[in-house]
Amino acid sequence: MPAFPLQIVRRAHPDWTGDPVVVVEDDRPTSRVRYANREARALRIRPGTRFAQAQSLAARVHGVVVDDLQIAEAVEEIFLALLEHCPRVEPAADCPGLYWLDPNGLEALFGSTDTWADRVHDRLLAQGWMPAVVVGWQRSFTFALARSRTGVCVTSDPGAERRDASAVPLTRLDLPPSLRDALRKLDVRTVGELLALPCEGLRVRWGTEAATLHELLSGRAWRPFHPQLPVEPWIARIPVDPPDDDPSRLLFGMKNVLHELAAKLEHNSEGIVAVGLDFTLDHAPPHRERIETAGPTLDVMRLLDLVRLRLSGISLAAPVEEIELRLETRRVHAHQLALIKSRPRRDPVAAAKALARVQAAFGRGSVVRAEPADGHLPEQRFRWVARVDLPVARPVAEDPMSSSSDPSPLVRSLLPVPRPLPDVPAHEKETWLGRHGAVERLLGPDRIATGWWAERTERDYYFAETKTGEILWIFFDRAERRWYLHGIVD
Amino acid sequence: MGARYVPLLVKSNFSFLEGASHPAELVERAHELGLPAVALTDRDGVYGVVAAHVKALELGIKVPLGAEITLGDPDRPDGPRSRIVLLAENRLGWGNLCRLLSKGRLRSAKGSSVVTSREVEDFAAGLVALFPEPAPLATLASTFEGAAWAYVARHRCAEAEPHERALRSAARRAGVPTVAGNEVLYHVAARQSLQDVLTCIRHGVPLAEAGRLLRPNAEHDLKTPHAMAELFADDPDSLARTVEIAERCAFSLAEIRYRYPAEERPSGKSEREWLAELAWQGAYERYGQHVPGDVARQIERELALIHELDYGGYFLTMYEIVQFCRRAGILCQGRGSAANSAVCYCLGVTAIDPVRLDLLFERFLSRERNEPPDIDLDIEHERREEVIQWVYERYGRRRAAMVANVIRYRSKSAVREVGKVLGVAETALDRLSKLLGSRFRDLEVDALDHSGLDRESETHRHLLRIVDEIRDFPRHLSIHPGGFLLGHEPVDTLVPIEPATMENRTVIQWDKYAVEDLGLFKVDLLGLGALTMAHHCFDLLREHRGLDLDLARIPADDSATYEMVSRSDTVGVFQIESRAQMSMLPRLKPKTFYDLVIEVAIVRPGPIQGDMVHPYLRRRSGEEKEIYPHPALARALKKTLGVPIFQEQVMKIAVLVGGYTGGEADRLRRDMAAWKSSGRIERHHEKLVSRMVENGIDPEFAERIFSQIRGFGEYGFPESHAASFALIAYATAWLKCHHPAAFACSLLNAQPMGFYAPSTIVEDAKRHGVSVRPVCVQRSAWDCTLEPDGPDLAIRMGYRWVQGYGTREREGLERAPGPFRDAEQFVRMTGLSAKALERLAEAGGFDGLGLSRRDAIWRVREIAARHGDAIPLSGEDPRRAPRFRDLSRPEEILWDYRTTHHSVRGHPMIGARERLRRAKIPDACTLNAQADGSRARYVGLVICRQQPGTATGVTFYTLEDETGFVNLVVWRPTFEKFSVLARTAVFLGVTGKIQSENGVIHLIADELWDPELALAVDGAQARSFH
Repeated sequence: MPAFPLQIVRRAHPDWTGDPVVVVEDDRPTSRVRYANREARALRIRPGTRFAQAQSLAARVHGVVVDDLQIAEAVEEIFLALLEHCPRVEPAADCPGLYWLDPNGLEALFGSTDTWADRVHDRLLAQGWMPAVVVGWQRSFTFALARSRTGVCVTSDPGAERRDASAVPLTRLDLPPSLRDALRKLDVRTVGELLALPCEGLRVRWGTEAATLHELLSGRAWRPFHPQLPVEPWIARIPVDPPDDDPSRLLFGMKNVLHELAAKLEHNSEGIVAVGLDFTLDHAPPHRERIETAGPTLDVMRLLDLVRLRLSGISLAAPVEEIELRLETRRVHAHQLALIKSRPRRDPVAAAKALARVQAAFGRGSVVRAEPADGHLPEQRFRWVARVDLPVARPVAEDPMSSSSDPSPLVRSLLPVPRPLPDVPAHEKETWLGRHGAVERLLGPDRIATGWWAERTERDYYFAETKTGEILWIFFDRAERRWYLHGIVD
Repeated sequence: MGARYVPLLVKSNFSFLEGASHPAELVERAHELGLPAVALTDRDGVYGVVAAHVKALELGIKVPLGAEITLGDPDRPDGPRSRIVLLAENRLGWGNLCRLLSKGRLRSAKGSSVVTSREVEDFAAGLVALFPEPAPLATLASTFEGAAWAYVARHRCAEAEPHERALRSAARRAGVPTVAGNEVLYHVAARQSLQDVLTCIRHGVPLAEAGRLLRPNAEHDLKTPHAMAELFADDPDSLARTVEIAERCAFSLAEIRYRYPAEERPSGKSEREWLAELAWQGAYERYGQHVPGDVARQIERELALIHELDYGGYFLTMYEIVQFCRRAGILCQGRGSAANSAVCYCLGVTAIDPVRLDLLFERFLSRERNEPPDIDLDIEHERREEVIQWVYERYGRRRAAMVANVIRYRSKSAVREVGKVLGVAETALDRLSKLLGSRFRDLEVDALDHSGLDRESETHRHLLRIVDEIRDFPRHLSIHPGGFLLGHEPVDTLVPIEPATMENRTVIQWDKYAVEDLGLFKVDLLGLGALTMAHHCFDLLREHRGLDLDLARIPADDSATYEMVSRSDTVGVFQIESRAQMSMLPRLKPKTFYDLVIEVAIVRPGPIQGDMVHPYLRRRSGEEKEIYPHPALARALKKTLGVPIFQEQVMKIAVLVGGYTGGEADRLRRDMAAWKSSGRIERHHEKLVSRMVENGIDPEFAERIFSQIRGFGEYGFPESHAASFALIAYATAWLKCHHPAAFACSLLNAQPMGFYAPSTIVEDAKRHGVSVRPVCVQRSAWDCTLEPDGPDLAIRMGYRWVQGYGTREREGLERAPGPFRDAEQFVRMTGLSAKALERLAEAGGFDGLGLSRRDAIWRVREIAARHGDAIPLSGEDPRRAPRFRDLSRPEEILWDYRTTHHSVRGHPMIGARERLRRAKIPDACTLNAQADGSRARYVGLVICRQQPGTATGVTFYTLEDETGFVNLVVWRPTFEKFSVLARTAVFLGVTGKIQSENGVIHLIADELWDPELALAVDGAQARSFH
């Protein structure tokens, strides 16, 4: 996929057709352009140009950062599309947009290799990509040819392939800039010219990178073809006969299946990240549930606990005829696998699990934690965080400046939202705060006037001591010109 | 009117990135509020006191002066810090405060200061102390017995209550009374947003993430007495004490009596006698034993005035510095108004004879003006540091310090920093800031539109407002290029001294405007590349031609030199080498030294904006009569044919027909000098123009005069200054005319300086018949050198022109001067890095060892890799090395440009010449011979691209080929139409019309095009000037 990141941008922004577009390293004026489309190049914007300079050449140039996630998604999309035409596909790990396909045996299906290559090409073209498809004899030469052209190229024999590949300019190979420049200085411009130099001589002068390239292009360093299989959810169907809606029995039915699947997953180095439950109901529309775990796990009992909690919180419209159990997994390393199977005696992970159970029972957002924040307004001094991990408490040391004779701070219970108070009546002022009683003493104000860059807030805070002995924390909003109750002193 | 009070803890914007008002704004606001006084107590500095003092004098309000001092342990950079505020009661206290601040600053990192309690005790005399924090009270209250107060500040902030309780409690324990106030950070509450932005810039965070780094409200303003009385209704006594303290702090900057250093004199001679003796001694050397009468009278007159004003020490100091330069063999020359002085001329400080040039001494020194003389000394730029360090050594670090340069926010820097704080995308800010200074002078709504920012957005409106407010705010302190403050007494008793970023430099906390406002002496030691170049050239001529020359011994009135100058053959000639100067020279055709003086001064914004250039040229050529706008102006304008060209002529007009007094004229001159403070010149417009018209001056001429004043504000030359520069211009022109090889060689060795890239200097030398030879490991030195070339001299390019070569490479190369047996020996002896070797190989440096450039790259890479190994292995057999293609001629030139930014092998255009000839496109020489009005096409290398502010809408280019230059004019519509090419092309194709007038030839572009020359030269760069 030539200029792969640029192709991703082109697909995402069809409205930019005809505009200069560049892919930049990051969103900074000093960032360098990595790829430039034809329109940008016509305006003398080249890869390597700083974005600020590109802007000075074309004020309306679109500069886009293509992040790893976007690339990974595109790689996956193309991979799945290629699988439709070839069961053995290897996305190149260190070169996003490059795929190796094994067409052996597919001639019978497609009539000829040429036709197969056309189909692959057309399939990707239909998805909005601009691919180059090369069918050849040796990986190094195929790679070089794919980098030098678009469309479809099927080489007739190894000799022709070698000849054509030797003429491919090195500029098409995305070499590291230092090596590219060094070779250009020596007037080494094509694959063939590079291969004519001694590999060891390159290593001495420009390091292993140069030698590795030489070895790759000479075909000595390609590792064996390693097709990748798609990760698919593990699915099991559990018939329930006769139809039943008792949660315990339904769970029991799932237990053995889960154990079997967990063993297979362990073998495949995968951990469960979510459980999907599709209930086929007896004469009622199907019901679907999805339960996420706190992290990849193979702990079946814990999973069953989560499912039990979820089942106890729902009521099914009819008895269940069949359960489709769908396990979503993620690849994990061997050492992670050991960890997710072990059960520590007591630690924060256990607490996290407990909270996960609460979350499973009451849905996301049911578990939150207050975290200190930095702001002047009371409501900006903390925020609710939907996290189930529990950090170790770190109590703040007492202020050494404070003395025992200092009055204690007025600890307040904060209302979730400030409650509007009526205007101060012109007469019978003691009725102002209603059941809280007449105000005996008003202390203040402390003024908060900030946030002008977004939404200006101006509040005068007072402590209001009432006849009933309560101390209310109230403020006068200077912009709205009205009073609010914000807290009550404990 | 409420209770009387005086704000005592007040920080201006000279508490860098904290205070949000100018000192003058604070003083003005205090005056408006009817306050009897307002203190100024910036953080660890007194940077803003002069501005406050000047404004206070104007308004008749008192300003107690002091500073907020940071206390702590200097050995513990992260240890706890506290603060006290010190105010000067008297001159002794001020001196102590300055010394204390100097102590803190000199030991701390730039931008910070910390002193110990013990040091405060040492310098406590004459100071009163306010304690805004309880901690220092216990240790320092007794030091300031009877002069200490706990400073209770209220800002309606919840967290402040425990602090106030602790402070009052500590004050009670220490037996110290309280005084009330707030910490003033801005003059009006509306500046809260700017203060927030400054806080964010200081901490490097955007507003949205600043949290409680910001102050919670806008209570740090200068409050009315009524508001303060309300705030301290429970403690009116503390408020009342502020007035007592302010009355007690009676020190004013007007008390600073400054004396210039007393020079060491021969015993038994007074300063007056010694200066007179030296002046007369110099006069005899200059004029012989019979000093002309008018000169003698002038010297006597000057000496009398110098004595009367007690400025003798200053002249003797300048004499001493010049003498040091002479002893050390450093070229120097005084410039500026000092060139009006015969005494300066006789002391050797300046090189212009003011009597012969009829320059006015009063411009330099006058009894009425009573301000210190201003002598700027130009020193060859590579050796200026020697002079600076000698001054430090001679006078001591406490008696000599450099004047500061306050770096202020300009629109561009403001947009970048404020925008970042507001969270505007950096790419958008970059685009916007690029528009400023080119298309837009300041940030305005249209600039937002042009950079694609939504003018309706609230954030962008904040950006507009705050950028406008922050403009001219001090950002940090830098160092003035060469201004020294020298004192008879230690300078640190006048003003604090702090370290500069540059090693071994110290700087005072005031800039040159502050120094001038207080009437202090300063010495300007400025670096000048042309003097370095001249010195190099004299050395080369002594070595290769046996000529013993210096600036004073260059033959005067050389007609060949003037002829060369009149042909615009002035690449590398000081002051008259720019594109604009070159265009003027064939019109003005200088034939005498004074013509050069005018030439130097006339191509400046002043005369250009005043539209005085063409009238002068017409009168000079006899096309126009010499008339005077007013009979009174005949004497002032006689030398310039009735057309004002010099700054002092314009000021003279203001006095003679504008009714300006001497003081007003002096204010006008200062306002011109401070042109960056917008609006200061404009204040004179109405007054000056209307008075001139009243005196019978044509209104149109009056407006032109004022335009000229505006132009002088940007950059204007007084006559004496132009004369000093013209002298160097003549000297360098003479060297170019008679010794082109030595001239070009020394010019190359003095780079960076001047207008032109090395390639242009080399090409110019070649056009003057000088042979230029490439860098060669067998022959080159670090600098360019001269080699015999038959009866002539050839230039051998030095290693200094190999790109990327610096100190390390220089050391290696000078350690092993060569010649070398082979590349292996060169690499071993010089120890150059692989990268440096490869660059030299690319530049063709190994040709002398029989290695072509590509073969040399392959070879030296291998040798360098082997030398880097811990256990060197035996090398490859060079005979078995692959052979690489040789470079073609155009490729050689291209590689030369890439590696050395020039080529001695040919001009980049040579490779394309045949093709251009077939396409009937002429070279520069042919094009410049075409008739006026004829159509032409041309292709050349862009060597200079200039958009002067004085020529709105025009871009001037200088294009070059192997035969010479072509002056190209591109009007805005053409520029916009071909903007990409116009801004980026290295090689430019032009279709247009020839304009030829008085020997000045321009190609006026109708169309620009890409000539698509195959040999794009990476290293060829145009220099863009604005």
